[in-house]
Amino acid sequence: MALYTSLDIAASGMTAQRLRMDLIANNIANASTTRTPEGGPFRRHLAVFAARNAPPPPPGFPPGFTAGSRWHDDPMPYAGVRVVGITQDSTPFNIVHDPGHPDADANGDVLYPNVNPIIEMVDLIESQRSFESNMSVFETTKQLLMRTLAIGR
Amino acid sequence: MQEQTEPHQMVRTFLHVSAMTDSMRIVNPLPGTIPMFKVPSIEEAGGKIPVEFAELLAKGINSVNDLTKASEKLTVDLALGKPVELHQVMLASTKASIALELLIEIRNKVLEAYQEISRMPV
Repeated sequence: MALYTSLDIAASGMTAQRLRMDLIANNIANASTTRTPEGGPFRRHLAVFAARNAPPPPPGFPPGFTAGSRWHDDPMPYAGVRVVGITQDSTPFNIVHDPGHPDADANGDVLYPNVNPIIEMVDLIESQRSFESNMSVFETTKQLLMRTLAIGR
Repeated sequence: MQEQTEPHQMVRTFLHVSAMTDSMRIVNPLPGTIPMFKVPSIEEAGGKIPVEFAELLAKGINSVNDLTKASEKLTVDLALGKPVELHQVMLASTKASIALELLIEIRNKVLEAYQEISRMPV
């Protein structure tokens, strides 16, 4: 329904930012994780956003969400944002000399995740502001619709 | 919800109004006078029966009902701990609330129009 287009778009932005906040929380929580199921230290995760009407990602795209998962459940072809995938930051790991660590190599070096908590905090603030902006759009649209209805009174 | 009016009651109220206004359509304009507003006949509308306001209103009520149900479902899902985003719940309930508000406004307008006509001295 065209009446609710801007509400839907604002909600898609909020959904995207919520996912990004989840990823940031995961990055911060794993800032010193040296063991992962794939082996090696934790790699920083990043969300990839795309315009809602953009073509779908190519088949070999890095791990992400497939159609039908919770981020895609509202079909809205006209506008908004969506998360097309979650990629891993390919920057090198932090090397810390710590021979006593069980994951230390022959030289006594330990690979720590490429997560910088300062960058994560800045990203978190940006994500929060973006969520709030989308909320303002939602609120304004709602107020305008309500005031438009008051014309008839 | 602002008003305790069930959608089906609104339909019933409206259908009564519709039946009464139907009888007014029979009145033909005097020959030589220009009708104030023209209701297209079936032939003029290309053989298609024009969409009834009652039909439109019923559609509107159905969509309000759907939106309300969707909102209720999301609220229950959230309470059950299913993976539902809080803002999606608020989105659904806002949509339902705006749609209901619109429906109530339309109903008020229709009733107002009917009362205006019923008060008209013949």
